[in-house]
Amino acid sequence: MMSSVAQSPTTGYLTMRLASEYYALPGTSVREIMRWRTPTPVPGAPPMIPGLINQRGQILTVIDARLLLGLAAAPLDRSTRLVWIQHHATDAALLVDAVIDLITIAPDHLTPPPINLTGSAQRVIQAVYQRDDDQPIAILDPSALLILVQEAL
Amino acid sequence: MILLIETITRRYLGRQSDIDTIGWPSTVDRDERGRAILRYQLGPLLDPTDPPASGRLHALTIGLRRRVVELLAVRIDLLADAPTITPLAPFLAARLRLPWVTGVALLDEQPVVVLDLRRLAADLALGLRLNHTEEAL
Amino acid sequence: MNSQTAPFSLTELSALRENRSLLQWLVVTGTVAQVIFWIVGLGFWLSDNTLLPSFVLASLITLFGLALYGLAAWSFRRGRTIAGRRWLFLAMTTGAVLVMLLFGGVDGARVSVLFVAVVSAGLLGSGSDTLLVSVLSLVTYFALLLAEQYAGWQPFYAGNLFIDSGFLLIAVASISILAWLSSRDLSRALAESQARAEELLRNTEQLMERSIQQVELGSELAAAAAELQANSQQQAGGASEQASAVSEVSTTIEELGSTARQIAQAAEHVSEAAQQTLEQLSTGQSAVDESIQAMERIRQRVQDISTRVLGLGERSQQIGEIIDLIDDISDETHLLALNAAIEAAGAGEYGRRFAVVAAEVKSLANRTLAAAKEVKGVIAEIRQATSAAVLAAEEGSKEVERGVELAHRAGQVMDNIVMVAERTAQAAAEIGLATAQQQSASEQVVETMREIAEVARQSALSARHMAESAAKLNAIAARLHGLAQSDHR
Repeated sequence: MMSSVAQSPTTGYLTMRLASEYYALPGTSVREIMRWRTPTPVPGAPPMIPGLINQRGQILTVIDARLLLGLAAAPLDRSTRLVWIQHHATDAALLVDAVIDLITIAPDHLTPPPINLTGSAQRVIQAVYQRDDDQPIAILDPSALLILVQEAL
Repeated sequence: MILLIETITRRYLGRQSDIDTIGWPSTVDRDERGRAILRYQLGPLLDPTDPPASGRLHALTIGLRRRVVELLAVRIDLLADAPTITPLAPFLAARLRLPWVTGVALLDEQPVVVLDLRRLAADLALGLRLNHTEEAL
Repeated sequence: MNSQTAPFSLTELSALRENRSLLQWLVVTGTVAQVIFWIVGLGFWLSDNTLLPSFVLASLITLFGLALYGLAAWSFRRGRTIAGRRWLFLAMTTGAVLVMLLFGGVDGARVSVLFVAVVSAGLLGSGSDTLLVSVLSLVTYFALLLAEQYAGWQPFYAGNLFIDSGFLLIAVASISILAWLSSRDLSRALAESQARAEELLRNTEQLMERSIQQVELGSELAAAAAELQANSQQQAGGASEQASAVSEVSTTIEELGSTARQIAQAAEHVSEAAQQTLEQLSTGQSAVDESIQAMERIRQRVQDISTRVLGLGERSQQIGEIIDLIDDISDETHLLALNAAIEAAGAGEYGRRFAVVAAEVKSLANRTLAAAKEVKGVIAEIRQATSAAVLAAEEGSKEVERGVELAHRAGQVMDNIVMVAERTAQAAAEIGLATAQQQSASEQVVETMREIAEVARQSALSARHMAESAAKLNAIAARLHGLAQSDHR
């Protein structure tokens, strides 16, 4: 569970869609995928954090991944999902527009992120997976995401 | 003891130790000690989508040194069984504009935030508001 | 005595001989004298102074004289003065004969009583009367003389001087009265003759004036006759013109008659055409009715189709809801499979087999999702198609309604045409009848025209005759004119 990308020959990745872009999270940082449900808002919280939900007795803070990554927030629909991520002792629910699939990517298929990336993207994208004649999938670093949440103002 | 405070659309929790009295809203501007009484509807104060209530309201009175703050709600109750209060995730607590929420508890499987009522009253007496709030009542 | 005969006006006294009152007076006096003489005679006979034959003769003469007097009176009463006078003088002569017969015969002064009759005739009668009375007096005198001389006839009374002188006195008195009357009458007659001469002169002047007027009238008559001639000539000309005009009119009327025949034929054709139109229209009408019924059926069908298509739309909606449910379920399945796969991945080597199942479930869910999506697409297409079909059906039903309305309108138009055709047929029949009447009327007119032409011919003939007569009249007038003018000069 603590194994890194380099160590594991084939690692599962959960692909998802945020606005019109595709991202992936290492399967090891994902605990569960949930349908969208309205969270309990927290007074004084930023728009990026719409509130809190209860999942199996665990209270999770919902983070709007789109706002976190500086993307346009599309209206919520039936494909909207909450992805329970767990990194070290921190739990959170990432709001994404859609969860596509759990795929396995060989490490040699991953390419380093383009050097022209800036801002939050530069900090949270650890690699890029280019599928055959399809949109590239950006591999996100969960710990960097959570740190970004704390730092973002 | 934990207080359950109900507005039109929301529910909040508070510590009974933070407040002085639970009762009806007062009809005077100052109390017997000459402190100005500040009155707020708690619902719109915390959530702009929560409409102000009308009719019979309950009042939580928090006496400060020079002011008295009355927080009005549709209904105020004391919870017999104290729920488990979980503190907010650190990244969330760090991001709050005003530290009025200290934790969260589950009521009927639903998360309900726990308010720091004394801090809230003190901030209100200082004139601090969440961005969206306006003077109520 | 004139005053006693008041009914006679003074102008009638202008001539003594015309004086009927005098003459009647003479009749009465004579009659009385005659009767007196007979009574004396009767006395003589009764005193046996006379023989019976003499008395019978005297009575016969008396009766004769009385009869003559009666005749005279009757003649005067009847206005026959000349005849009356003649009878009167004869009667007076018989009186004189009776005197001579009764009183002393044909000698002595008593004979003078004969002169009373003669003088009366001379004064009062015409020339022939005087002659007649004179001859009769002489004849009777000589007859009495002969009877006295040779037959031994004796008068009743031998006579004496007294009686003679009495009779002479009577005769002289009578004659002198008559002469006086006559002289008075003569002077009056002279005055009258002068007046008559003047009157004659006046009359002549008047006559001349009249003849002048006559001349003028004659010339007027001539002018009128000439005018009459001219008029009658004109009339003759006019009559011949009239005859030619009548023949023209007859020709025209005959043409009109033939035209009327043509019109009648045309009207018959029109009537037949209208009848045919009516027959064809009835078929057309039934066709329109059938088309309306067919349209009605089409409309019902279209409505059925519309309803069914709408039903199909609703069904596809239901299918869509079911597909949504399937979608939800496959979504959920997918989510579960994902979570299972995540869980399996967390379980390391032990979870690998479980991960395979999870992957299978996930792919199943994905396929279901894809199929559901496909079905959704199909359903969307169906719904589009059905809504298009419903729209088309509505359009179609509207079109059909329009068609029905048009058919109804066509039916109404047909009805109108039928009405018009019926009217046309009726009118054609009426025209036929009217033209037939016209034809017979024109024939009558032709007949009448022929009669008129005959009359005109006759009128022309009579006008010619009249012209001839007028010419004759003209000639007569000219002659009269000439005559009158020469008279006048």
